[in-house]
Amino acid sequence: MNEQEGPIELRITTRGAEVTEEDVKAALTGEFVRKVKDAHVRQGNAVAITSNQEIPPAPPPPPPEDE
Amino acid sequence: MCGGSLWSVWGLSMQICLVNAPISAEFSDAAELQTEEVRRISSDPQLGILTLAAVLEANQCAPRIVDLNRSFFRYADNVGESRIDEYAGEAAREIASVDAAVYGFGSICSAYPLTLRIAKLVKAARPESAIVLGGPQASVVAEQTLAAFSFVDFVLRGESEQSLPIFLEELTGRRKFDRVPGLTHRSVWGVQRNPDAPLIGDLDALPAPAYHLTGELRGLHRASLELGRGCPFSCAFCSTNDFFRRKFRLRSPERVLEDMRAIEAEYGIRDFDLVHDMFTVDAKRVRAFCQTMIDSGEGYTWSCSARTDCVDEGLIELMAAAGCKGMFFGIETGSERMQKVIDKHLDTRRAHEIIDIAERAGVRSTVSLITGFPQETWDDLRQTVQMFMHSARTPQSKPQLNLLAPLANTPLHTAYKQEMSLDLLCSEMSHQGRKQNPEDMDLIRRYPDIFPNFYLLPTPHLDRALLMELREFSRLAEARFRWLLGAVDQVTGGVLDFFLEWIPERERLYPAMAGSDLRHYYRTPQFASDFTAFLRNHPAGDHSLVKVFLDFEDALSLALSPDRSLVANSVRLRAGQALEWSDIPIRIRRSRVVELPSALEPAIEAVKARREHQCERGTHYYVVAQNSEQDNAVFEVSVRVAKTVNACNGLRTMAQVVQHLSSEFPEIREDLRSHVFVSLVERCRAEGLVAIYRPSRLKMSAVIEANESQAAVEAL
Repeated sequence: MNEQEGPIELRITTRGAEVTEEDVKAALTGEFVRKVKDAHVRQGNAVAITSNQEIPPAPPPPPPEDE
Repeated sequence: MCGGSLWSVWGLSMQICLVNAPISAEFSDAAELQTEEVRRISSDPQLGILTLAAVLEANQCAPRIVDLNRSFFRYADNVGESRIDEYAGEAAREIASVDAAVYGFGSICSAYPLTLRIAKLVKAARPESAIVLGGPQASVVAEQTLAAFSFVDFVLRGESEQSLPIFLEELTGRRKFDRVPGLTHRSVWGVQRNPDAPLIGDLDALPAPAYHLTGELRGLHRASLELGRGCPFSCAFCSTNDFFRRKFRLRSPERVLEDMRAIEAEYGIRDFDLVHDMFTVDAKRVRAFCQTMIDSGEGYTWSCSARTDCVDEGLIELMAAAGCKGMFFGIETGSERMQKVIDKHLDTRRAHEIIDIAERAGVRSTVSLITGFPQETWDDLRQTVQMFMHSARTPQSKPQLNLLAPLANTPLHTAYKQEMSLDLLCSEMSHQGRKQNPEDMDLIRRYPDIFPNFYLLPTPHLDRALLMELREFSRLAEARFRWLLGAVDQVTGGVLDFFLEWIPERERLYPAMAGSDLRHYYRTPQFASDFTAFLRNHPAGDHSLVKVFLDFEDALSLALSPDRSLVANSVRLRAGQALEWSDIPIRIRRSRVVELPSALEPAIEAVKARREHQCERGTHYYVVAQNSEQDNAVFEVSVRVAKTVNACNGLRTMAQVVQHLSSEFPEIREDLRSHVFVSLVERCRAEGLVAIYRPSRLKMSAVIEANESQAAVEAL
């Protein structure tokens, strides 16, 4: 198992070693993250304000770095 | 800037302070005030005040503007909810700190009581100065306002770009107020109403709004821009004809484009809300506008208002190509009969089609509906709710169900003014927040002719308490779970009948709830929880389509948010930075992982198309991640991604995440596990679902301790 400290150094070689790039790729085949179209969820307290103008959606979220 | 001599009377040396209508003060609930949506919508620049300010600048005058919306938010943030009712005093102090000879207040119906209370305090602080009201509400109740409130000196009615400089000239000179068009004032004969000011025919000659005086466009993504004035229609509930009249006027496409370019150059904004009560009246001119936008090659985006009988597929496609991203459709009622009664005369079947056409063209639609007309029956209401649900089923469409407010001097108000009543809840045209200020309520009770929009009209064929609750139920249910509501609509006799079944349950749970507490209840998570529990025990809850969304809501309510305590004040690692085993990966965007026994997407498609749902059984994993303050996006993910995101709960180091996943997925070859699981964490980070932090040594000992005690608990 992994050591508890120090840098993560995962050696991958193209051939001849225990772990090859192809092995890792094969193990990760089929993993996916896909946005579900139109499935928005609102939580917490909600407001439903009205306006006589078209209310645009919220501006895009800040990049994750800003959280 | 202003090049014409029309409003260049002469150099005005007096100090003038302009004050906008405090729309934001409608929201007095602390939670609502913090929402990004409320801040955004109530902070839109008010074009009337800004254009008048630009006219004054063209007259060598340097007006000051006090922006009550931002002032209100500053005040609310500082004092909190308990003292929010005292805002009028704070606003008056801010306004009176400007040394001005004239204080000009804009007005809209919903904020009119507060505007008057503030104006009264300003007059007390600056008795030598003139208090002038303008804008839509003061214009229609000018005589009543002057008769009732001695601190109001003048009302300048209607479009005032020409009449304001004339008025100021008289105020500083001969004081012959009879010659000021559109002015209502006091004389020895009592309150005098001068003839209306002439309409401004050439809107291009008006200067651009003086956005620079408030700086309110800074940091915004969108700017309001006037497209024109005047609506030729005469709907029975609408007040626009009293202010802008029925003469349809448009600014030239070239002038609008020039203003867009200037705003982009100054503020970097490329998205515009083009303000006109009814832009699409003249299709030929809409085409010319679109062609100018296309030819410019600027790629600006914009939204506008439209009637569903003034647009067709070709025009909507052209508008979309010219940058139109959103349209506001005041459809008002889903009933053909009521369309005639209220003099709207839309073909409701065609209105359904236009919503669909806008959707296909990639244009968002806002579908505004009204209930509470005196002539409205349950059948009419049923059709309005069907229209509401058609919009709710359309992904880019947003329905609004409003309660009718009798706007001053409209045909409906005139016909029923003797039968108006005041209730605990009222229309959004009067107040959108949780509680109306008691001093406002006192004014409203004393002067129904000045504040009729706070009253309700009789609904002899409908139970008005039910209508008010239907409004809260439909809008908040749609906002929270539109697909669940759509599924219920599809598998039952319709949402209106379902609502009538829900009411006894709500009354059983909260028998004494009424008024603002009832309004507040629908905005809380408790409503969502009660509603889904009710649906679980309802026959509709057994339907496979409804079950998909119910399962989703239930799973979401049980999913845990990550614990950020261990990464607080730690350094967040940048992408590409070398990782250490002691780094802590954590879910971000408040993301939660849910596991469902059937797929979500086919169910959404079934509701959209109102077709039979083919339930696909099988475990599906979703990550719900915060998109904006309130909105969450939903991602379908593979099982390993789901477990990886879940493992990143903020309490595990990279080493412990790998260890945890190794036990979750023992089928992965042992020598590959570190590679695969670290890659999965990296993938989640790249997708914006996980961040990785490097804690301090001190934090690390806390992590180890926390995990040791957790392990000990698990061992037990």
